[in-house]
Amino acid sequence: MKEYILGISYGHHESSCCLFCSDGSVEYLREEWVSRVKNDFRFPVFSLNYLKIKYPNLELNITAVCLFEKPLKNWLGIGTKKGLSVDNYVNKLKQFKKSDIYFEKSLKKVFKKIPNILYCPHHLSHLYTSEFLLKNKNLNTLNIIMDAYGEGLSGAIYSGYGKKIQLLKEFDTSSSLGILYSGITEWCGFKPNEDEYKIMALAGYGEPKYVDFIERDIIQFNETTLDISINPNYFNFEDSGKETIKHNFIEKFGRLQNDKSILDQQEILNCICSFQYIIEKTVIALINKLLLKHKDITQVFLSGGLFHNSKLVGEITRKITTKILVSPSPGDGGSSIGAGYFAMLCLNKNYIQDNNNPFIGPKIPNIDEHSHLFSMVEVKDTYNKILEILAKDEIFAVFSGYSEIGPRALLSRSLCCNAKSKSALERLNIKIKKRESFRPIAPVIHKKYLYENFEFNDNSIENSFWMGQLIWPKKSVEMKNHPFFHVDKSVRAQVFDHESDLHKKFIPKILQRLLNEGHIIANTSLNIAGDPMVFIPEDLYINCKRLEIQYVLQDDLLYEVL
Amino acid sequence: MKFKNQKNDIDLDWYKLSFTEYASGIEVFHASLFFSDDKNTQKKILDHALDEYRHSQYFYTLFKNEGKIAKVSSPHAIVNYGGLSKSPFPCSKENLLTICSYLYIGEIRAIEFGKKVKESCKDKNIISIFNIIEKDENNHANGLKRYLDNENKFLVFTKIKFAKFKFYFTDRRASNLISRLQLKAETFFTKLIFKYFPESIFEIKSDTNDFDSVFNNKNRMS
Repeated sequence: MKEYILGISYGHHESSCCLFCSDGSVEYLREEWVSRVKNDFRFPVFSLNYLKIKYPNLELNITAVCLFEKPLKNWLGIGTKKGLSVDNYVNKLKQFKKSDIYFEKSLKKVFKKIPNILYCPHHLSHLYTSEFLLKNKNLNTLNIIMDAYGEGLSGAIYSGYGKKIQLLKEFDTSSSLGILYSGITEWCGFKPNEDEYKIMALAGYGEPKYVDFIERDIIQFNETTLDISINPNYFNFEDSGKETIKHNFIEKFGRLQNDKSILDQQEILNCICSFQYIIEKTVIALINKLLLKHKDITQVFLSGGLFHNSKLVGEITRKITTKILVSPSPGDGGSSIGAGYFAMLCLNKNYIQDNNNPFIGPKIPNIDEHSHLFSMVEVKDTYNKILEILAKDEIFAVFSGYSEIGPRALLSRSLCCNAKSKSALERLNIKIKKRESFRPIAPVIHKKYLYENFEFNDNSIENSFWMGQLIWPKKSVEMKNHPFFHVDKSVRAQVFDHESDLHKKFIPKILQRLLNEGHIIANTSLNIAGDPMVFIPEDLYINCKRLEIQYVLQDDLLYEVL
Repeated sequence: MKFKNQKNDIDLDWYKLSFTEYASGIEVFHASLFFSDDKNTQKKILDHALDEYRHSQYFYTLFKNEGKIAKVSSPHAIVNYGGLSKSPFPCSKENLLTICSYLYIGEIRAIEFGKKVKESCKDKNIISIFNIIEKDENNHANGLKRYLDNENKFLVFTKIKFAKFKFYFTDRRASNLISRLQLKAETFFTKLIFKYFPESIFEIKSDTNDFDSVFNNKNRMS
């Protein structure tokens, strides 16, 4: 008889659940895929209903359910000290009503009887997510977790793996680089806790002119105690519902002019660039100090929302030669995996077999059964038809294999075009996806092309299998021949390794052939900007219609949207 | 943007309207999944969802044209502004009649709202947008009506009344009054709570030094 353990994460961020089965299979679901609300933060009731239908015996055979954090500790962790404004406390009470303190009550609406409810500490959920996804069994591992906040902390450092972990350091919320970054996102007119990737892209347009000032007055790193201190006169770290940026910050760096494009406001771009630079410098200094202090460490795992910043990860792996890995889903959205893994450790269960990381989402349904929405294109050779689409600078969708767990499309649910064509890239980025012009499109490149054209840390190249880091070209490579380069010459490429069993198994054969033959494919997520990734053929139909996409590739077959 | 005339007083918030339409698109999309056995009907419902997304885009463009910046994150905007927090989804196929009644009343309300805007607005661009939307909403309402007419009429009547009643409480005036009273009560009790509670209750002690210490607290919320 099969047994199940369920990990759940929800609250202030995209919610998810992860089901571990005693036969070794794993199924991860993001609530947004099923509910169709981008970054859905609510209790994952849509996902749980989906799992209940897919696994009819789930309710009877579930051993434990584990939440990714300790909810009461999390609620008390920020904005509850004495002496704050009444607004702050009112906001805090509102959060109580909506918080995951009511986890058990919400769960009982879906499952009538739950045998065992566990709560995993927030930062350990991140640690165990990395451990599971990166298959770690090495005691000499350093786990660095940094995010905005969780349970009153903004990060932690552990050594070891599994049950053999040891806490080395904790960071409180007043040193949260995550909150600081969200504050800058809000200051630039973008949505905090959502649009941080836009700030990362904009950093490439600025000059680090304010670095000295920021180091002197705002962010300091203590090399002895490893503490990061951020001047509270510039940022508000209390969860009061007010702006994170304080008056002193505005006085120094000004305000965004809404009537002008942000690309025309050089001082704003310089400020973004300077903060990005300082964050990189601080985290690199922290890792270097830790490696000096703990000489037996052979690898470093990065997790937490801060490491969604692929420029930060790229700079770290560029400057430190030790093996440094970030998991395909380092943020809170992936923490349900760690919560489920924690429950397995607590209950001495070992349901894990060789998992299919990062493709542990559900199998993508067959389009064939939706003949009212799609019709098969009758061509002699699908490969040649795809070549024709690429040559005409047209765009096609890929909806094949298994769903990727992270925020980035990895050729299972992607929109693709010829990455060597500037006009195709512009069409995909601006006209189809309606993204801001400053956001580059990621290419999928062959490993051979990577070795010929890029400089990178070979120990950490695995990150590029799921676009976890930026890479930079060799000095001899000219930008004009590669329209997918960002303005600062960086590339967030997905590297295709033709020798990897994982890639052979999960990337559609036709795309493998294209990549083996030297094509570079532009790859962006199959969704409209601001919508969740497509999940079922009905979503695919809606999205293709809205995006005006004509062709969809599934396995070796091409379909036309009706 | 505020339009006034003798009959109506409409405060148009393009941002909220955009998310109301977007949330409708999501609701209609979920409804379409109940019709996987009837492919023609499912396609029509999916095209209805596409219309709602298109309307959402119209309003979002008007919002952007005003040079404003969206500060509320999209999930909060969809759930709270869009009204998904009051939505009947997720639910099972047995609730199909409730859902269709709910969607039908939503369409009728959208038509009434559009008419009010057209009466009080002088901007030709906005009127033309509302004309397109009105045509779409009429089609949707008629489609839903046809479906509901084939069902148990008494049950449909009850469900429609219930949907109207539910929408009444989401209307601006009623909900504003309730939320104002709620806020006053919250402020009062918050002051009281934080005045008398000792600060030590909020102190957080680290219990995550190693796995054993974490294991001993695995069933605790704090």
